[in-house]
Amino acid sequence: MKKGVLRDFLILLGIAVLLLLTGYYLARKIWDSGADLSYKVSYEQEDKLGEGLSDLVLKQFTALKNRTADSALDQITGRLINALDSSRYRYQFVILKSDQINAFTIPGGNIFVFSGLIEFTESPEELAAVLAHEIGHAEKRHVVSRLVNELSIAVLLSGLSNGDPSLVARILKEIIGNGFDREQENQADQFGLRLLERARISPKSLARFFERLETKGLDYDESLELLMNHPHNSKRIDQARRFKTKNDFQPVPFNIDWKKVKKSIKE
Amino acid sequence: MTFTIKHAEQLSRGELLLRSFFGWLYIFVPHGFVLLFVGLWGGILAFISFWVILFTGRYPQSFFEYQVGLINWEVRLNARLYNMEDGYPAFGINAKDDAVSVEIPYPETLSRGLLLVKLFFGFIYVLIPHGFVLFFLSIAFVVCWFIGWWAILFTGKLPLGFHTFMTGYLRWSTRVRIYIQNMTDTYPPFSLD
Amino acid sequence: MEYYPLPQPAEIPEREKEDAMGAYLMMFAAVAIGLPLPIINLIAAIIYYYINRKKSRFIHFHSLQSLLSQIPTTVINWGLVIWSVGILLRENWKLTPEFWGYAIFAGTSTLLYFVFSLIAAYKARQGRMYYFLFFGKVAYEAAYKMVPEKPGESSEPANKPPF
Repeated sequence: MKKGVLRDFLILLGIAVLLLLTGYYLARKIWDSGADLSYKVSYEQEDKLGEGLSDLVLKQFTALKNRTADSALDQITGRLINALDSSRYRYQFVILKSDQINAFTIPGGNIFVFSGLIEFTESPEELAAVLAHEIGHAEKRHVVSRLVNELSIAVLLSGLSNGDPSLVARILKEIIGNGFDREQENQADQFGLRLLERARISPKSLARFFERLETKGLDYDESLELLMNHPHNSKRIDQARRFKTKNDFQPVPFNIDWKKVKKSIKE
Repeated sequence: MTFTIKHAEQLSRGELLLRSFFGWLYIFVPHGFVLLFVGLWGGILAFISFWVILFTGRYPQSFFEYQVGLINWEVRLNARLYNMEDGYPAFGINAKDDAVSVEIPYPETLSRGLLLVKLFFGFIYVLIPHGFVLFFLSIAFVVCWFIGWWAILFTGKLPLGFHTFMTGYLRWSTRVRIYIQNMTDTYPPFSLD
Repeated sequence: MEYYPLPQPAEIPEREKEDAMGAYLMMFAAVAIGLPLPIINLIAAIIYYYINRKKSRFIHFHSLQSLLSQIPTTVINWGLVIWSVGILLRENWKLTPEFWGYAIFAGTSTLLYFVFSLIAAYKARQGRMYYFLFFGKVAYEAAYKMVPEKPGESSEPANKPPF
């Protein structure tokens, strides 16, 4: 080997490796700018945020409270919470009076469900599936991440405290609009399905709920559009349907008169 | 540019018939197949040459000679296709043929301005006018070709008038081609000679 | 002496300089044909090399250098093509940051190759030797090294009469 050839080759190789690493580093930086930024928010900040946002939501909507619905909700959420390995959050579930077929999560473990969604479900298992999905968003801190992306936490907190109307409207729209990206929806789906399995609830109910939503979506009004921000495309339905439970999985159905629950909500 | 296809005094009736019925098999398919690749390479060279002319004002000489060889090959083949010559056309980019010869002088410099004009307006001031005329001439060409076939069958030669016209047509279209392909800056004359 | 002497720019005929420049322009072959496949450039470079290497050592050197440097560029770009197709064909396609990192790498490599090739084309046109990192030395070795005649080739005749 003539002198310098090996040296040249190694230099060339070194440059190539350097380029590759630089490229990856750049790509990561750009990638992360849209990804999980929830680490920027401490749990304390999140709790405070959650409180403020909860107040906001309850100012905007009326909470629905009746014995039948509450007890049914407790049963469902109780099973789900128990199935969670451990959680930083103390979950609170509230039903809001509205025709919207939607549910959303607020930082800090507050999950809101519109009565419209409960009316649309055909079984408690379907509601459980939706809630499990929302718990997924909460556990993965997707809402926090998204809000940090849009606005800095300081702005958020100040906006909440001085009640700047346009900021408030924007925040609410973000939260209820459920503008999660594909990756986040995937994560929430997977988390939800696993949670359902651990809670002995058939994961198929998620797929069933999505399917019905999709077929209804074709001739529904815009109240459905909000939920359609969740891209419920066929891939997600496919994946939900294909989720395989363990061999010894035995679903334990809820002992709830769902018709009665739905009727109580209508009043 | 000199474009010569010698007028054959005698053309073999046997070869005519052989060529007409089997020519596709033993002449045109083999040549066509090879010319596909040779022509492709020519296309690549032509593309590259465009840029070289744009930057240096010169057509690379090796590339130029390749294109000349390619044109010669095609005319050589066509002469048999149109029954203007007998004999098997030679393969090869540098092959010589007794009867067919296309000589294109190498241009030392080419105008870059004209290059761009050809690129953007060539269609308008070259292809449309010449194409229009050549279209009608091509009809006459086909007629000559057809009648020529019978003439060779009965008389053993292609009438001089036909030959001259057909050669002129090929000459004309070749001149247009080399102008458009940036091998010359001389605008192709509207003439068969 | 081990190597043939290098010609100086004034000694090299115009034609040779042009042919040497042409080697680096083969990277546009794919564009010429209209198919953005990386392999076409490589094939064009190979064909050019084989046609032109016998013309002169100077041309041999440049053609070879162009060809050798084209090889890793083609390989890197093929990697990108295959990865992209793989992503498109998979059910749950995800554009990961790894993919983008590699894409940036491939793009930059190609750009570097492009720039250096154009510089080399210009230099070759001037009759200059221009050495790429690593490839330059290899190409020089191949084009200019004196290969000693194999001893004993012309001493004993291979064919002898039967009697």
